[in-house]
Amino acid sequence: MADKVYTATFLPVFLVVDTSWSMGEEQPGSTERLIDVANQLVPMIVEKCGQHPTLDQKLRLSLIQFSSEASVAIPLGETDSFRSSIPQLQPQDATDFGAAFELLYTEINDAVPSLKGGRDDYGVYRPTVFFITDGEDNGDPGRRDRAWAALTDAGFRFRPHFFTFGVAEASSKQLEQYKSGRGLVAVAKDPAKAIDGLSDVLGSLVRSIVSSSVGADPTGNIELTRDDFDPNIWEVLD
Amino acid sequence: MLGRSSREKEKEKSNAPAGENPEAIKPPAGWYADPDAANSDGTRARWWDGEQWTETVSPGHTAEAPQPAQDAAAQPDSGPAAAAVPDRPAAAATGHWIQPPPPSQLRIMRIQEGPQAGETTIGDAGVILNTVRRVAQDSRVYVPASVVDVAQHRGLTIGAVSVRGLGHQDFGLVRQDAVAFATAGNSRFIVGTIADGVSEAPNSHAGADSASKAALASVREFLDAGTRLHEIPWPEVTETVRNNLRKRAELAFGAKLRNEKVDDGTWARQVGTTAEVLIVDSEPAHDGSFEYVRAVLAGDGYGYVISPAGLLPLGSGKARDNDLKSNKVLPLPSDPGPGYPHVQPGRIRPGEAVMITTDGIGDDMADGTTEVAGYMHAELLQPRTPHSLLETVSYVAYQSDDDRTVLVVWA
Repeated sequence: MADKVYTATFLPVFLVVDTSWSMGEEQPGSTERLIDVANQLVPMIVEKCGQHPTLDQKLRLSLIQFSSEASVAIPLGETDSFRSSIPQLQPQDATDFGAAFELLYTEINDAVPSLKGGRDDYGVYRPTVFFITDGEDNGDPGRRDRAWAALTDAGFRFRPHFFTFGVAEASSKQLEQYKSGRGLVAVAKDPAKAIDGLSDVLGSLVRSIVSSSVGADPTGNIELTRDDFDPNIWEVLD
Repeated sequence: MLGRSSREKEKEKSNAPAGENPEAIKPPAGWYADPDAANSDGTRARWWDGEQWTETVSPGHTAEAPQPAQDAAAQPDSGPAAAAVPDRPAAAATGHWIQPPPPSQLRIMRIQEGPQAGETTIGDAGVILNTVRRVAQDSRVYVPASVVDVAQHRGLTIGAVSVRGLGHQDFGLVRQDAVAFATAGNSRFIVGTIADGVSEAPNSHAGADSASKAALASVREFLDAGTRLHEIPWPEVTETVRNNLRKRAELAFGAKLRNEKVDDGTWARQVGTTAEVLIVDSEPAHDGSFEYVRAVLAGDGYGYVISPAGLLPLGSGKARDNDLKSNKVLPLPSDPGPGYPHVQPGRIRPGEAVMITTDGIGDDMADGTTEVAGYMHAELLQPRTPHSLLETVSYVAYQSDDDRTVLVVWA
């Protein structure tokens, strides 16, 4: 019988969003841009946290944007710290997965253990990453592969559950390997319906975060399975 | 079971626990290091019934010679002084006596406004104070958010309370914990059960209800038939609970799954639950103490002995995953796995209490050093009335949002 218990446990979630130029282009048949849809994600989560204090007290959220470079738009923290000024992502440059994976590794490695605040009685659930992209990686393949290997290495204490969502020009062949833990890869089948695809997946993503907290004794696992995706829209690799 | 063999004769020749002469003042009944030669490594305990060695052994039970609380004596600053708990058979204690924070050090306040107004907050509770009590939408049957019961029996007082956690209130879910108690063995024993339905199972409230009642019925049957307290076949009790859960699940959900391969995992995903039993003998020993047995059939519940001198955590089955939080339990009717049933005997003296609780409170009390542990220790030192017991367990604390259930027996 184990005696180690935690009086509080945090659920770290990293949203990693592609902000390359293509995310800012108007989509066929729509005046909306993918970046506009992506910018709705954090407010949707914040709204849910406002409705459910027990979720809000556990969830710790981070937003990372990447194009040719990656940067932290929202450092891992409670929604209260950014509720009043949610940053808006802007399109720029090309797409470099390696930059995103490297920064993600650093952020997880530093920010996740810091959630404990030095308290032995505070714990963390294994982090979850939602990686959203609309296209092909233009970065250095060697850098990308090294960073991915480090992120998912079995020896990495906080290796995350990694979910990848691809829309528009993203293909399953390019993305199929980017899943780990309980994660999966979901790619929208029709590039012409990228806006609908991204909107659809954001709803599923938010529901999965909320569900992880429902029941008061959550497993800490954000569950998204093949069944959560419309087979007419999505190709799911799990 | 050993036969009356040369090994038995060998034991008869051996001394009583701790080298006491059997003809002199004998130690109280309890688990002590097995004097059998086969126990040379000291890892096995044998039950001493107060008069002689019995056939009942507990492999893997860490037993020590009967002397004043050894752990406490070894740590005089962190537990009650040995003199405060004289003659306690240390074999019963798997943990260390803890001196929880005293009331003067607790940050306790009455909540003045908001949906939790009137309740007690412990420490900085944060935004959880804003949680709204939403109507439960997830069950076709009504499940009371709170149940409470207090009764006296032969000088002992039993308290049972179960409340819907703030997380369930926040998301409109029913209480998934259950509690039950009764007497057994010609009214000699108090038997109490608690169960914690796992949140992933949508009908675990039904599972918890079934498990608590089935465990109670099974244990009562053994005690009513004359089975001795330390000879209850706990694996059989577990099997009875599992069978009842299977039947309950099949009755409710079998039709839906007619075309699927159904196994215990299938049922556990519908009605999965933990289960734990506490039995207290109302017949006091010659030293005035009352014997108890705690049996964890499955899950992650907690147990504590509450004494004016401190708090003795009896342990939990909470799992860990490389220092990352894990709430893994193998819920019934699945096989709970190695280590179960986990049986812990012990004793309480007049003025003490023994409690078992689900992790909604157990996670807050943890190892006995937390503010909630200090609060619960102070609140449960004396028997409570039903309404005050309900109020006690309705405290509000940071991230404390699970259902809460306590079964406590005061001596």
